[in-house]
Amino acid sequence: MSGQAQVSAAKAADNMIKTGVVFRLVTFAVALGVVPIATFYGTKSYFFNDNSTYAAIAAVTAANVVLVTYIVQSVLEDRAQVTAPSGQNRNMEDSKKSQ
Amino acid sequence: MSVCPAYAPFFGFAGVSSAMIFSTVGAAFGTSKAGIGIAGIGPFKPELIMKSLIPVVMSGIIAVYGLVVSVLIVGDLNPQLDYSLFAGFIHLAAGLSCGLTGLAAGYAIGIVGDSCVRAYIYQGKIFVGMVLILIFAEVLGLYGLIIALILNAKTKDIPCS
Repeated sequence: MSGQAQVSAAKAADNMIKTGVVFRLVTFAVALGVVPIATFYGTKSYFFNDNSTYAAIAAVTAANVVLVTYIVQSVLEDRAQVTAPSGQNRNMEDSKKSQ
Repeated sequence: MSVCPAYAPFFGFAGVSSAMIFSTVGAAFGTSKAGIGIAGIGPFKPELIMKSLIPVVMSGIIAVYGLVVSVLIVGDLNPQLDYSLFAGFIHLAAGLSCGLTGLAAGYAIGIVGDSCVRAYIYQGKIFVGMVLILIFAEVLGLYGLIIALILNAKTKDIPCS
């Protein structure tokens, strides 16, 4: 019985993680396409007085900022995942031992 | 033999398309090869998938480099203005340098992403090494983009007659 409860709790946690993860991945994919081009045309018109070279540098910098954001976010999420499920497992093991 | 022949825009547009095409070929190879690695580790350790997607995102950046150079070159092409053969060759060189370096970078990212992601499930400390190798691979594409930018800046004020 406690084994089944553990499996269903794990599935519920997986579903919660999955919906958030898919949304975040789609956001990053769209940002990787939209942010550099928007930065290129935006900085070309408003910041650099139609100098294309500086606008291209700004666009490449923006694309790399999106990349670094993804890397940092995936590392932080991995650390949060390592600490959270171990707390749940400890509760399950304590309930098993008390029985 | 004039400075601005009628076939000069051919080279300009060849530069535009080669920047986009070759960098996309590199990014596609990188994405697919890294995706093979992720599909390999997915059944065994699904919690590592988000970190294993980093090579795929880096391949996307290579395609973005090609896109930025294409947009940059297209901005200089105008049928109402004079377009010299010199400017055409500059644009061709810029497009080819960005495109083919992107092809090389995407190839490297794909192979490294596949192997390192498969090693990551056995040894977690490989992650930092993987990110460093991927950064070095991506910088190859960045070098091509820098040369494309420097080349493109030389097309200012080339008179026809």
